[in-house]
Amino acid sequence: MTEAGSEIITFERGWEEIQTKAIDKLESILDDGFKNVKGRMFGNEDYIQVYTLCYDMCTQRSPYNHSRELYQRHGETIEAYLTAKVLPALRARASQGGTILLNELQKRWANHQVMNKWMTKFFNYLDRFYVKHHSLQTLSQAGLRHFKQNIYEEIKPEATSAIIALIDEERDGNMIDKTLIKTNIELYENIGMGNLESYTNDLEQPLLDATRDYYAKKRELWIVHDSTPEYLIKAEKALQDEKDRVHDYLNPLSENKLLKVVEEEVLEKAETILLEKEGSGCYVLLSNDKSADLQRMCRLFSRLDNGLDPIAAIVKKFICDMGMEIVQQRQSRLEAGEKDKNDDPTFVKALLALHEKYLGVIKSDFSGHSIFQKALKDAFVEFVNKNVGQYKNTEFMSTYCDRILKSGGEKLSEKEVEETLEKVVQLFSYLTEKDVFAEIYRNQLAKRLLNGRSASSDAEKVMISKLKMQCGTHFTSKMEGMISDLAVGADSKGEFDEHMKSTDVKMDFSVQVLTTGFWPTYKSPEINIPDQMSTCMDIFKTWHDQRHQQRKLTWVFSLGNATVRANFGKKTYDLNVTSLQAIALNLMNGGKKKTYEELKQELNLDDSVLKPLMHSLSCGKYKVISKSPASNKINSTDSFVANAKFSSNTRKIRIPMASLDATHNAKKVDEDRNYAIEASIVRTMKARKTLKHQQLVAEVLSQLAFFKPNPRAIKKRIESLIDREYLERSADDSQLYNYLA
Amino acid sequence: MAEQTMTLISNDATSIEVPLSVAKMSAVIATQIGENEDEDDEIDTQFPCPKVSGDILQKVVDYCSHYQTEPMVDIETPLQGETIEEIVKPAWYVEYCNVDREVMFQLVAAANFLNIKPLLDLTCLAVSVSIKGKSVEELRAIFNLPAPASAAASEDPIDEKDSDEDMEP
Repeated sequence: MTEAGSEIITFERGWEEIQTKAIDKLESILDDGFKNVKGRMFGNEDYIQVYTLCYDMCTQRSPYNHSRELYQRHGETIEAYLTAKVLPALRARASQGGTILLNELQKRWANHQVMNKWMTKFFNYLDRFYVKHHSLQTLSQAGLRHFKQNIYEEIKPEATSAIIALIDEERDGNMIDKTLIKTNIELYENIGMGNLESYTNDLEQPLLDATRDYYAKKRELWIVHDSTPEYLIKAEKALQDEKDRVHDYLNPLSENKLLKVVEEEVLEKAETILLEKEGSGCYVLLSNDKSADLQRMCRLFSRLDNGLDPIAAIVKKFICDMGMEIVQQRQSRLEAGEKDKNDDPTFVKALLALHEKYLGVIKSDFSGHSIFQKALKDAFVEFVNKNVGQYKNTEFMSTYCDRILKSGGEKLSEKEVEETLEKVVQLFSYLTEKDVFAEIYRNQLAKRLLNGRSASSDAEKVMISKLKMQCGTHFTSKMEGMISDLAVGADSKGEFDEHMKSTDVKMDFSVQVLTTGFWPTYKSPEINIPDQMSTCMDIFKTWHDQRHQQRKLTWVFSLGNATVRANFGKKTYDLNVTSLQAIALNLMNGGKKKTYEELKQELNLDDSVLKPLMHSLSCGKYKVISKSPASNKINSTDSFVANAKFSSNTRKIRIPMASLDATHNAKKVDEDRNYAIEASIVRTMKARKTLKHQQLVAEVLSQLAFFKPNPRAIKKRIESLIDREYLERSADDSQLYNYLA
Repeated sequence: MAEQTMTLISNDATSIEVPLSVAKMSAVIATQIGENEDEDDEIDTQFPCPKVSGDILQKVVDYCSHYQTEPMVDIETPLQGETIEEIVKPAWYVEYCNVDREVMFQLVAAANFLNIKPLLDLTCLAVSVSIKGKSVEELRAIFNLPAPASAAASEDPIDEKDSDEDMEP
């Protein structure tokens, strides 16, 4: 392939032409600041001429191929211009102040980019083959490298400190030329040719150091003069400003580093002082409900690793103090003479209110962060289990539920009931003795159900399902059994009523069947029963046995109710009484006088039942029986007769009788606990076969959710299991147990 | 608004007016006019092509114009066949190569000068297919190489046919 007729171009001739047509012109344009340039610096004609010249010089056959020399000259030209013109100009400006230097640098950098661009275009043919084949830097890279070596490396200390000085000025609230900073920072970014090493080392690191100094000074100033909220407002603004700064003119990768420096200086190093500051620290903000300030505090310190921990500790202490105050108030009331009973709605309501309030505070001010939820929980666990007086807080909470759930208790709408129950269950979750709660609750539930005093069976079910959510099926299975007994009872009542009609007994009689185990155990005295009643009972027993052959029926008279028609003089009353009372009244019918001993024999009752029974009839509000001698106590020497003079304004009278059973059986709870501990021990040992004492105790403790036994109780159970040969002590190590299958 | 045009001028003063998009197929032209796009200044619409004759410039413009509506499929290496027909798609570009060897050489040079990559690929392929199986003497004659070719001779022509080498099956 030949260029017919074209003559060979010597390097000297070719370079001279390039020098005059391209380089001289380019340099003079740059030197007088583009004054005489309209439109493009080089037109198509000028450009293609130089390009063609280079093309020819690079495509001539050896020895006239000048690629190597051209590549070398390209670099030398740029270098020469930079060292001869640019560097001296910058040096001259450096002494005149930062902004002047940066302006000059900005201009020179822009010029260099123009020069580099045109030089790349003119010598473009080199890039296509010569550079590729010899694995050289492209023309444009080489041009940049020359600037880096000859200008950037020389001038960067001055430039960097000028930039930092301007940034500090801006931090102090002065207006600065942001564009100037931005273009200069672009130089730092671009000079790395694709990596940010120069930017990071030459600008970013000094800037970070300067930032640290700047904010360390601010911190020391603010911490003396400002309250915690004021300080935090400034800190938040500083962080926002730095973020904006990165956005305005720094590399986005600097954002995290820069903010971290500010966080360390302004937040981390001041956290303890700020949180504990007298008069405006975290505790004070909490007690004054300074929502906005707390939110800001949480927002800011959540930026630090573990920054929220000290705040959570204060929150916990604060809530704890508030809770202890409520406990203290109860104590004071008792000391002031208030009667200590198993019902203290004021106390429970105060706890509920406290819980609701700080649940809300944590949600809104501390964005529901789990660490604060834990603080709340820990605080409540601490004081909810602090019992003052004779009754346990567990019992107050159950009794409070009772108030809500029984008819004629608190006056609440359906929605309020549900909400209150929800809150109680939240509080309940902090109790360590959940099993005691369950026992008391079950007794109270039984009472409500059997006495027909439950306001709404829906509400009962709601509460049980809430407890179930908290503690699992096992926890509520008995309560659910009770509810379902009643439901079954309601269904079969109709059928039994039909059956009753078919007999010739004319008595209103119904029976509620309770499943043993679901219900609390009740005293069931072997009382002698009048014929009318036993007839009814036999009818029911026959009917029931037909339907359920495998079931054994026992009668709990202490829970039954009866309505007794009584005539006193000319007046007739309907007495609403328990079955026991009805039987006793039946015996007194006719006005015959009977001694205590006679009654005891005829009824077949012992003192523990007979005394409260007769007390209810002769010493209560309605004295349908008169006792002699008259007093407020039943003695075994007393005698009784129907009170012929009895009169009352109302026709229907309810005569209550003291319950024969305690609200709950503490012994029962203990027994259940023992079973639970033993079950857990056996379960663990069955899985592990051999285990050290300490590990076994720890394992058992972690499994028991409803109460916290002390290790001694566990040890006792272990010993009992060893006696019963479920476990044995290892022969070699007395601390080691083996499981015996 | 009609697309802007550019007038390409050959070394024998033939002017061919082409749409800007066609002209920009040449990287040499594209770098020069690229920067003007955002400026309001009159674009210098005359573009001299001093190494290209009028009839060759017309061939180049034909290629670039056709490329606008039916782009050539990039020539993959290793080559997918032995002949132009097998390698080049669509068919229009196969027909395009049906020219004298001398014209083909000039097209290679023009494509190289103007830096039109797909055209350079195509023409180099055409040359390499045409010299397949030729003897050393024949090749010397074809490429006008001096008699006992030394190492020096291999440098420059190969420079231009860098892709050519790659494409040898």
